[in-house]
Amino acid sequence: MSNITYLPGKEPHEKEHRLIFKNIDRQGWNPTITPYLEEGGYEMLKKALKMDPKAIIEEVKTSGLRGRGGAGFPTGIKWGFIPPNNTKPVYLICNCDESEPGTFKDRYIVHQDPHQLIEGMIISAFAVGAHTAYIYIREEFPEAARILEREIAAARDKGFLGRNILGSGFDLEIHVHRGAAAYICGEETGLIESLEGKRPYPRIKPPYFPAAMGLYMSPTIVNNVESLCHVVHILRMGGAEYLKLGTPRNSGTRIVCVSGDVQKPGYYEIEVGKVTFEELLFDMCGGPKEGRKLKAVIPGGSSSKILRCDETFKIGRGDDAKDLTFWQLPLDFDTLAAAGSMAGSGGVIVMDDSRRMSWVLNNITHFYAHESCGQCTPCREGSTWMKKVSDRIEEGKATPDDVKTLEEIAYQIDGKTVCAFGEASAWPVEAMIDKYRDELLAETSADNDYKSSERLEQEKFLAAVR
Amino acid sequence: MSSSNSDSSPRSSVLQKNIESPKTPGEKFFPPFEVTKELEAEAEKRIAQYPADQKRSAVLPLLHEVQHRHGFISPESIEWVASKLGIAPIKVVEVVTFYPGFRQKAPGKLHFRVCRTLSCAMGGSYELMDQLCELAKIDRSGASHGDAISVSPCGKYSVEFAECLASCGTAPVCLVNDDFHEGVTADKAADLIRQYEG
Repeated sequence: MSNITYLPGKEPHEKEHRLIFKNIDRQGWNPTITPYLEEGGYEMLKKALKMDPKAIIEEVKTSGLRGRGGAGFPTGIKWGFIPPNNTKPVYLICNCDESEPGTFKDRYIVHQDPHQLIEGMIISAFAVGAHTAYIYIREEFPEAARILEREIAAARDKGFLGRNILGSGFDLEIHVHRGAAAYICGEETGLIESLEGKRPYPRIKPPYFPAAMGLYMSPTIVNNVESLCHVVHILRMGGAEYLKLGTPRNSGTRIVCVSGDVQKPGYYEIEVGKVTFEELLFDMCGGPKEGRKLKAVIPGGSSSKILRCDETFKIGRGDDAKDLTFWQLPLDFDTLAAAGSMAGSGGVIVMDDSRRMSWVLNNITHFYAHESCGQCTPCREGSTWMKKVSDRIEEGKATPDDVKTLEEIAYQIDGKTVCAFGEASAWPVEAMIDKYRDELLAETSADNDYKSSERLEQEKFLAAVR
Repeated sequence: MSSSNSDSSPRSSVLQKNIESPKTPGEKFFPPFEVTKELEAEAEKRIAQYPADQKRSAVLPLLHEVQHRHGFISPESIEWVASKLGIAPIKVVEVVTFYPGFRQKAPGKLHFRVCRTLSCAMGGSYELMDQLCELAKIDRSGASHGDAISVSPCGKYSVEFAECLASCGTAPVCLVNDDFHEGVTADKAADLIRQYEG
């Protein structure tokens, strides 16, 4: 293995473990197939093609790999959901719609190290029995779409794609499909509807689990870009070795993306659960800006519940229960879930004491109101309504009751929708009010008499009929 | 029938509003929609990426081809995409009207998409947008969810807020046509525009 050096100023922090991001910002690296092959690229594909596909699925199950798109669902188990007596074509879809606010990792993989993804996809397609695969890439990555198409052609030229790959008898084509700037296409069933050429209205699960009824109602596996890259390394190390990275039930590495009010925002690849928030935000990100203190952190993309930096959490049950401060929380799926939030997509957004929470909340409600697909009444009506209420709280035009109303709207969406976008839009509101109720109330006044345009219409009508 | 009102019935005017392309000063920078051999060839290539009985899947790729060449999706192009894929035109309309990535009116020659989501807003993206509008003489007050693009009177520039562009660590960020720019604080707006002049 050649000596790896990184571009000046882009060297990984010593607490990082660069597995997926080994080649990002690397000196002398480029996205073509040449350096990838020189480093032993596609050797794992050769190894995989000699294995029984079921054995590959077992390795991925053993590895404990959990999806890196946001839900953290065990990848090997998802692959196992394809019906055993299936006779329909199987599809593999790479979800490259990276749109969760605060997340910026897949971007670098597809722009700088596309062959890691391509090799991961070919191995995964072989494992699940797919002969057609799609990369659904967000519209706002036009250069990456061109790079991917070019590198897929290069892989084809080397015999890694097409018919009878490397004499194995396995056929596979990978096609790039560009989206059109809709966040809901990151939802796997919304993505599938979009790939079918329709509006991306998600499907309800059950029964529409993609592994059973996906693209064109055929078994379909949808995986995140990063998850598919991990497959190459699992093949190389073996599932049992991979399982040793990270912590129990939270194995491997993941790329954490830090943005907002820190000295050194950026991407950091860490072993899951081996780094705490204190280490991440102070040691790796240099702490807050000059003269500021850290106030709050959204740990897993804007859909995750906000955490206060001065909070203490009760983690675990019975004899294992312990109190951990925010700074002591390790970044892993289970601990963050126990803390009442989630690790999600790894998008860590940091706010310091200069930020008004009403402004932060308002920015977030605008996002969800814009991105709601409109299929379900609670979300379509509720997300827009939450935006309007948070508008007037932020503008100082709200009454104290408005905070209560906003909270109630959120709980009327949560759990009552076809897809998880409902929760994604409601959780930030629920958490912000739960954690910062007093701060939000301080911006309201009982003297405010805000009349929405709907209320003014109503009063005009009532006056006319009296 | 009222002689002063030349509009059709209310129902068809709603449909009309969903299909028509309002005129903008940016139009002059884009060639009008035309079915060329190159476009047909590209369409065939894209259609072949999907199973033969699933041509509808190619609606997004075909619309991207049209928008790339002609700047926006016109009523004529909607009809062409529909006939190319053998689907009813309404099926193309429902896609064009849903996705923010498809424009139904001409943007400026340079289309600026500024991220407005949390980390970029914290980094100053709203100030960047204000500065871009001032420099390009764009009035953004008419922008709404359904009509998100504001074009300068000269037609050379247009702006739009985009949602999270997945580069929060280098906030604030924006796209200028297909070019991605990072760390573009308001004080860099003039330089950004200058990069594309002359």
